Amino acid sequence: MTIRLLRASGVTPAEFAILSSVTLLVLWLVFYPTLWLGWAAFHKGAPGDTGPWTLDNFALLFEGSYWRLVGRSLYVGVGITLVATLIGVPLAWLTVKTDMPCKRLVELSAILPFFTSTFIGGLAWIFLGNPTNGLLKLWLGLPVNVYSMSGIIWVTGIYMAPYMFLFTAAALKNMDTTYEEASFMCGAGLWRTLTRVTLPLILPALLSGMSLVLVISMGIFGVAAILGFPAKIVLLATEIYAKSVLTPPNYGAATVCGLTLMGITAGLIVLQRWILRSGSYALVGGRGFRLKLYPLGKWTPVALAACSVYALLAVILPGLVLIKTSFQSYPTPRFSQWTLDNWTAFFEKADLLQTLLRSLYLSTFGATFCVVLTAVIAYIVHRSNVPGRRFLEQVSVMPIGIPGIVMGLAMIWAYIVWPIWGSIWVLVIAYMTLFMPYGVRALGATIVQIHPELEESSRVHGASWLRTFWRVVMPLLRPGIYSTWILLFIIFIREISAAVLLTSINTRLFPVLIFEQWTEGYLNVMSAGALLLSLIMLAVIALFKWGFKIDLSPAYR
Amino acid sequence: MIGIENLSKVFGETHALDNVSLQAAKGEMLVLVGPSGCGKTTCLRCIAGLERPTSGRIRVGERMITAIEEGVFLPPEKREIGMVFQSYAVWPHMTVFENVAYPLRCQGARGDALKARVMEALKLVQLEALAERYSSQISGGQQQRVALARSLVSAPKLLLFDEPLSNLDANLRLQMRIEIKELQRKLGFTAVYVTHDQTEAMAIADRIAIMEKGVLRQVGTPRDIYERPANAFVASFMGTTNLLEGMLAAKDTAGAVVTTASGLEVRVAVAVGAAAGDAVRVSIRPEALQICAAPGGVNAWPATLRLATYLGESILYRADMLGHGVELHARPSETYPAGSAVTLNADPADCILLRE
Ligand SMILES: Nc1ncnc2c1ncn2[C@@H]1O[C@H](COP(=O)(O)OP(=O)(O)O)[C@@H](O)[C@H]1O
Ligand SMILES: [Mg+2]
Repeated sequence: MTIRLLRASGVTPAEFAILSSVTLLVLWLVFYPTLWLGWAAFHKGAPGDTGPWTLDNFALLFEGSYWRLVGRSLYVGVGITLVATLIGVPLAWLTVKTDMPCKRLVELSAILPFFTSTFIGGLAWIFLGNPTNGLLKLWLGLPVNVYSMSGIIWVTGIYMAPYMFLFTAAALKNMDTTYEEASFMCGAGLWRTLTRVTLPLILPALLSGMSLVLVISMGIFGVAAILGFPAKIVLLATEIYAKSVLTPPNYGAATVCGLTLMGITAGLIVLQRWILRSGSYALVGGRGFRLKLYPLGKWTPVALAACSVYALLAVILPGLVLIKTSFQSYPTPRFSQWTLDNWTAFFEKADLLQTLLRSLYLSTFGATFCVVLTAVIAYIVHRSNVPGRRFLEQVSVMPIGIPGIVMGLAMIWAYIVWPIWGSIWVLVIAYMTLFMPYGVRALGATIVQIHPELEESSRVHGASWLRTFWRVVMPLLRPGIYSTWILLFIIFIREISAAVLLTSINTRLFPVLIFEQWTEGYLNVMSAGALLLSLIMLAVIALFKWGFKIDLSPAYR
Repeated sequence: MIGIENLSKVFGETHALDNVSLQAAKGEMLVLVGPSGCGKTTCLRCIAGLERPTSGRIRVGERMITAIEEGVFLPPEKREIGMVFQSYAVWPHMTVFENVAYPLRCQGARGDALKARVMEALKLVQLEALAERYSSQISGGQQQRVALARSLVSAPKLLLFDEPLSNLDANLRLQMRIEIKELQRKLGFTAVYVTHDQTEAMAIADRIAIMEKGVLRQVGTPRDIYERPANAFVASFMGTTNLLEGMLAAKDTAGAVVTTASGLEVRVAVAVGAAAGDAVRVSIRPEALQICAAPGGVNAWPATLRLATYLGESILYRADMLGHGVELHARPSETYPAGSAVTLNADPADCILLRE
């Protein structure tokens, strides 16, 4: 029966073997930990030591405070998404559609925060926006307080804006400009054209971007912890951490919080799919060079000023304040107390250096494994006609809806009795699972651009499937593979949400170390660490971009 | 109605338009034709205001819409010009009705008056029945009609067409070009129509303007252009022709005689502006060359037939005429085996002297 089905679809046994093993692996990665999480919600006890069946964990759901927590998390998530949209969309429009000068700089300042992270941004904003001696308050007299809900929303929002920028810019570049030109020819001015034609046309892309930002924001841990804990503001993500780490741990409650969070994010993704399916339309790509730039005229200085404010708040000020603090012996708004101790600490203390090397090691190998796995998935999904390939795709992008901290919790339940527990492999597995969707998306986008006839003509001219893959597909895929690797490397090295719960003294990773410096109040060492991490990421990007001349855009397009 | 003076557009190194001057009278269909990349679209977009020319002036009716030297450049939405794009640009997020209603809404029309005008425009292109459809639910030909209705609905005096038929299949293309022509007769708008297809240009134009590499090479009625091309480019772009290079040997009252390097003598009826001794070319259309029985007479040349292609209504022969390869059309009944020695003959009035 199966054999007949396979024959009918022209699948060879070798291909079937590859497909089924990849599918099993993906199913395992995604469902083994999450099913454990579901199972754990109904049991007493702690990971590795589970007690009898119970419904007690769900008692939480009948407390008003729990629903206030959920409401607060949603509020913060939506707030972050709005801030990111309100910054990212106009910035994208200005850089893609107008004749604003200095576009490359603006683009750079909009993409840099994407490569560093919300966590590092949040650390820097502690110095900029704390209510007692924040620089914005002392220098400019601005009454800002990052230790608040609006602080979390604002800081995370400016660092999520790059996502909206990239989504919107890609959509605007892909849109056929004649749609807008036709509107002008009909007598519509700029405003009407923007609101009646441009925005509705990029709405699907905009909604995709917004739902991705919302999903990521709901699960964000780093900023929520460093800005929320001092003000006793707890969100779902930080509650999971608090419940599992603080003594005595309450894994049952943490698990219920985790399931709630995952339920919300998964629900959002389903909602997004549903919205986009009804009334969706494919945008026909335009001819590149006709991209007409709208003259800003007397508005040019206004636009440039707005872009500079963003660059200042998201990149320049945070960068400078981290540099300053990392060379001082205690946090001070003044320009004194200079020292090199914070930096030497990293190279003198064996465990700090080891942590750094471990992070590099994990990111290098993890990104490599992940690229190989996702390349095979993307190839199967887009280039084979085996039954089940759509299912494979859907499962492989599911982890988009799993927040890192929830994954960390699930991994504890699932792997604590395994021999690999306590080794770096647990983290590799967690990271691969969590970030598989990015690889599948980025590589899929590259593969669909390779015209199938290029492969077919290789087959027709006598090359085997394997030879075709090696001599034709791989070389064409290479740029996409490199840029995806870098993207994954960067994501792996900066990831903190999944790591905080899985970390032990032998598997401590660099971002967690930075977080610990914060917990223990070594803010200056923390600044040096955050800077070091950013510098490593920038160095890797610079090396690949200018050293190996690799176009990084396929990864984040 | 529309006047273009000394229009130039430079993109970096490319001179997309080089000092183009053109006029079209009210109700006229002016067709811009030329090979791909010659600057037709650029010219049209300059008229539309979608592209800012490097220099030049454009006037529509009494209104100066572009005068770069004087600093006048109206934005496209203020020009009151309709345009049909090559890709149709029918907005996919609006229904057919909303697409067509858009220009009227921009003018502030509302309610029943709006509805009536939209339906009237849709009726002109026979799309009343599809008013509530989205562009993804109608065919390419129907989208073309929507684009047409949208550009007509606000009754602009001037309409621009950028290769409107190039994405349609051959039959539909023939049908649409008749419909566009009829709409123009009925509504009386002036049109500038861009195409790279010379048969389409001939069929639809009141006047044709031929461009090459940003330069206007000739403007005239289709008959003018075909029968009296001004230069070799126009002669060979508008239909096929045989070009013979030579020197003007002598001028007389009956025209002139051109001698080619291989000694062929061609008598032409008109030789205005050329003097004896000039290097010139002669264009003879394939249908102007005839196979005649007896040698002798004016413009009778010995030739050898090489290759025959049966085309149905005629036979196309390739022949060798004193070292000049030529093509000619003969009646299907005139069959000769390859290699036959014959005499070819052409009326001096059909032999066009070209000076460049
Ligand atoms: N926006 C542009 N930037 C650079 N070159 C352009 C641009 N638009 C057109 N060109 C160049 O100008 C020339 C004329 O183009 P176009 O008007 O599109 O020709 P046509 O419509 O006759 O095919 C071409 O060489 C084209 O490459
Ligand atoms: Mg064109």
